[in-house]
Amino acid sequence: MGQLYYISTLEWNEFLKSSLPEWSLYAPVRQDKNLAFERLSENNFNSVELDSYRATQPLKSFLFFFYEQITNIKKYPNMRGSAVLGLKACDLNSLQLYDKTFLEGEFAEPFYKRRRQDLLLISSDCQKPIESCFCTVLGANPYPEEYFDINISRISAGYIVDINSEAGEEFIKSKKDFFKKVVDRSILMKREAKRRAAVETVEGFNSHFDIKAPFLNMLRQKLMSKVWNEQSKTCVTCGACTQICPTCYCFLIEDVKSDKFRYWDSCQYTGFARVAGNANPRKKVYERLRHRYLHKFDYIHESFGFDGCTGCGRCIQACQGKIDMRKVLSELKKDPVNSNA
Amino acid sequence: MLNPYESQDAKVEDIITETSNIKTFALKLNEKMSFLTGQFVELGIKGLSEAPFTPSSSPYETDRMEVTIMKAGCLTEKFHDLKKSSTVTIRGPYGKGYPIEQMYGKEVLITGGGVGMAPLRSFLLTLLEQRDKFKRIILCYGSKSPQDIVYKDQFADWMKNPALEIYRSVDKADSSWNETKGVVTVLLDKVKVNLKNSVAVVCGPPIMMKFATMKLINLGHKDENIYLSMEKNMSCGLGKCGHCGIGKYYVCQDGPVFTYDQIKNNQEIWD
Repeated sequence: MGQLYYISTLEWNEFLKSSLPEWSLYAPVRQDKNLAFERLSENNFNSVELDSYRATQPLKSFLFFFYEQITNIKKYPNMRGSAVLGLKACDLNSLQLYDKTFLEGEFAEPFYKRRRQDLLLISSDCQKPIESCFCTVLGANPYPEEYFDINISRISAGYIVDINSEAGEEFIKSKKDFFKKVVDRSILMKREAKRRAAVETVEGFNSHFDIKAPFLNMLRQKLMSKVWNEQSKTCVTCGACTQICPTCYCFLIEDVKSDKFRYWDSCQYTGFARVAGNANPRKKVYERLRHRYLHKFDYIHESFGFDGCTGCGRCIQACQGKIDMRKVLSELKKDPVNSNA
Repeated sequence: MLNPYESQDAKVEDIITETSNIKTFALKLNEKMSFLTGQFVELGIKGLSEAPFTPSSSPYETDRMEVTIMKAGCLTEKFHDLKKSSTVTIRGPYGKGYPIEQMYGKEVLITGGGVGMAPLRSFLLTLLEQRDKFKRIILCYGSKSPQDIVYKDQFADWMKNPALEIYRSVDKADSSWNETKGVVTVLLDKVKVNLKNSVAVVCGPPIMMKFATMKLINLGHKDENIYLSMEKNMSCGLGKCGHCGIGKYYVCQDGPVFTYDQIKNNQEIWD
């Protein structure tokens, strides 16, 4: 935990407005039933919802673009002066895997690396979780604990502001007198109570699934379970679950004339693992669905010690076939088969 | 900042027709690229695509690199249409390659099938550079027919080389064939190696790799002494894009050479 401040809602809004000329701010804006990230301006300022739940777009869309040119680059992208607001814990927690994959190892992903350095991350507590949320099942909490520059927690008529980095400190510098150091610890108790309430809400949404991470040992016993086939029957292999997923990072490289472009790919597409001569280890839909679960909860867990899922529930909302990850895991758990290969 | 997606140009200096659907391309790179035998490169045709190939030449030969390519899809067909002096793109090398030093003092049993001989030729040439470091070098090679044998001239030399023991089989023999008939696993029955001091190296089509591995295990080879070159869809080569996953491994960074012990629990290795 960094330096804690309190700011009234009025002053917070004034502060944000005063930042607009200098900063590109992106924030969740109400669009019908969903929240979508939009570039903040005077026009949409009043439709911003910082405190409810995660926006539709995953954080990766700011750091790892859906489609971009990756060769013959004259000037690398920079996101200095850009900040995303209203990120939730389930967004930030995806950075654990993204940083591991794209920053570590022999090669760093140069575009991600650049944006990751530049982009200011301003998160907020999730105070209105929705039915598809299941971060607590993954052992996480609906409030940010790391990876943010600034986190804000709504408390009655203002915010507790947690500054977690120099970049965060720099961001509030111009209106520093708006931010009052927290001396009265009782407002921290209020934050704690709100956080506790959110945890209980998410737990309540998920109590009937009776599942709790880690899943790797359970999954290894269910490789041959008929549940994979049953649960994948409504899958139309559209790839929405992977596109919307904050941790899915797989991509494809495409040649266009003399340049190369990289775009998000999906392990749910038929040809994802296909090799020359058309050999394909995952021809069937259920094999690809199983691969997605094994990658997230077995392979990543074994390699890094954490899961490749943050429990944001976007895949549940996005699925045309109404496939619910929690239901799949819970059905697998219930299946008495023990097919440990 | 270093951009790992950038390739360099390479000129096709020579094209050797190996069989009706396999050609070897000798490449002259703008900047020399040193590699370890078994590592792979991303080779491409500008504007089309790129794909992973393991050089078939010796890493000791630094002036030019050879890559042996079978016609199997869109890109490889375009490669077969290339003429001398064409330009291709190359980046790499990637992956881990064969752990040669762990094989010192041992009997090395190489089993290859079809175009799977490509990385094995590079491996074999590497062993021959330091022949005295290995107790024995045995090569079992299977192909569909005598016409489908790659590196025909080189095989003729190798078979005369007293430092090598070479066995070959073809599925379909003709009247000219006076070696073994049958699939490559038949050859493994003929070879007696000291199981306590040997390694087996296998490369070929998935089905051949599967049966050769099973055969080696039946003959008493240990899982951790069987080295397999895995073919997966290594697209970025950088351990990022996710295409070449085998369980927790990415073939492009943890392979392409694995021991059978490392990957045996994964259901997808032979597909």
